[in-house]
Amino acid sequence: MNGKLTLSRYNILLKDSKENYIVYNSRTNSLLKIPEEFYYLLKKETDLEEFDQDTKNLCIQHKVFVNHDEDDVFYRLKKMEANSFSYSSKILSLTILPTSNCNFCCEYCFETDKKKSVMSDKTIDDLIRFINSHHHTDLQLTWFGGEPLLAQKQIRTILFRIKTETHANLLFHSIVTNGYCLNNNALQLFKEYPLNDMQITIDGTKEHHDQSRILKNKKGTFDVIISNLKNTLKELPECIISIRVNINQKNKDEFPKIWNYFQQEFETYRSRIFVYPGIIKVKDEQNKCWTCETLFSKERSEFFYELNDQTNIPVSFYPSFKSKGCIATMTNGFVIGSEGEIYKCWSEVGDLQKSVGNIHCPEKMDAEKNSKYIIGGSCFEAEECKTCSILPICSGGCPRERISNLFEGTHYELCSIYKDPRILAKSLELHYSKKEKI
Amino acid sequence: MNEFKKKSAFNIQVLEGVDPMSDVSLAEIRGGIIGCPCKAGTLILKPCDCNKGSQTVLPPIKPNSALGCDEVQPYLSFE
Repeated sequence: MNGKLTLSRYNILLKDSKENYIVYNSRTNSLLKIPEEFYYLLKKETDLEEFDQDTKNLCIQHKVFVNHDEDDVFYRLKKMEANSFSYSSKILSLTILPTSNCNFCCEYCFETDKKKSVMSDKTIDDLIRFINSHHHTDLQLTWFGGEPLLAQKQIRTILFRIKTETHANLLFHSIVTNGYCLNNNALQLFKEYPLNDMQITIDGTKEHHDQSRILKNKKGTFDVIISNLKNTLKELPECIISIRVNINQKNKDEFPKIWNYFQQEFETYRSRIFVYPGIIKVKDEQNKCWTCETLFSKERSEFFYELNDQTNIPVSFYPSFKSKGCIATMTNGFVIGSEGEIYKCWSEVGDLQKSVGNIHCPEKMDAEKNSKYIIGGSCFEAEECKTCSILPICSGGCPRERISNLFEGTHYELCSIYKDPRILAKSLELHYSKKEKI
Repeated sequence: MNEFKKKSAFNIQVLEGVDPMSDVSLAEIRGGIIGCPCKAGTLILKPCDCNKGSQTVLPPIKPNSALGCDEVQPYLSFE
């Protein structure tokens, strides 16, 4: 190593509740317990060359001590990695809405006021042309809606035509469904075109779920979904199923009950069915920020601390590296609406103001809007992220919320929950306390 | 400071070592992203015995398959 050693900007020096002194480095995701004297020497920004060689070697290995420009080089590499992902031409990633119709009428649905339609033959023709216009070998699909299983005929047609009329290799496909229409026809379809992953939303226990996730005739849906899930697990042995349990301030205490229910009811399928809390974000009337129904960082962390203290639900408190982006920041990622509209984000489907183009005339893609997502959605364009000590474990938040803050004057919270040093300290302490008990 | 320097190494305990996924050259095996992280949620996988580290994935991606490890032990992500 050449040049003068310096402390990495990715170090976080903390003192835990038991007076342990620790240094966490978000670049290597490593954690060191250090003596008090060492802690204060680091705090005082002592000349690092003064330390003994063993100490220096250990700290260099964990990137606590770095060459004077090493963090800048790392940042550039991470930015290059993120850009490579955004501009990669290896994979075409499509989220397709074969219909915007839905058989449910959930009170919190963000698509209720949107126009309803089923994908027409003409739109499917243009979708196949759109896929063929991208010279990719690999294709990733997600079926989304509305309720996509209301359009099984369209899904079957699209899959058949991808197989027979395109050169795309369907790498995998997944579906976001309410689970109510997972009938024998749907299972037969996904046996013919093996489905890799399915996400179903449950709103808590039967009692709670049947109040909010209801059919248009107000009838509850819990029992049918559970019955369909059992069939699905039996009939589609390769499919991984994620159960998203919507959580807000009102029902957060329900989560352990529903988690335990799934553990017992689906005991033999535990390796293929995962139940997790989906923290609902509720916007205010002006769409400017989240309302108090939303669980913010402090409430979110308390929710997980309580799970850890009061239940046997396994929670990992240790940070991990975050993804490089999402479909919104990929040049080859698109959400295709049921009428052929193209969006960059799932939550904007049906809002024509947010559409970036249409597969009926893909050459007229709105470059200005597209650039907002791809460039503006990236945390690597933000000055405050450039020097942030937790950048590697924070993706910079949701790209759509980032561009909304940039261009629409909103104030969404973008930073990782670990940005709060009290939360980071407690999380790390919980992690290594657990390890010490093992 | 002088009292410490070059006498003996500080007693530093490594509680968590360097995560292999911090190596930028491994970036390619991190898998793709489908859809929106906000809607899909994330699962964190328990680091498996192959010592290749933990991986944050979105549910549509089969956990750890890119790392050649089939062991799936999901933990709820704190975030």
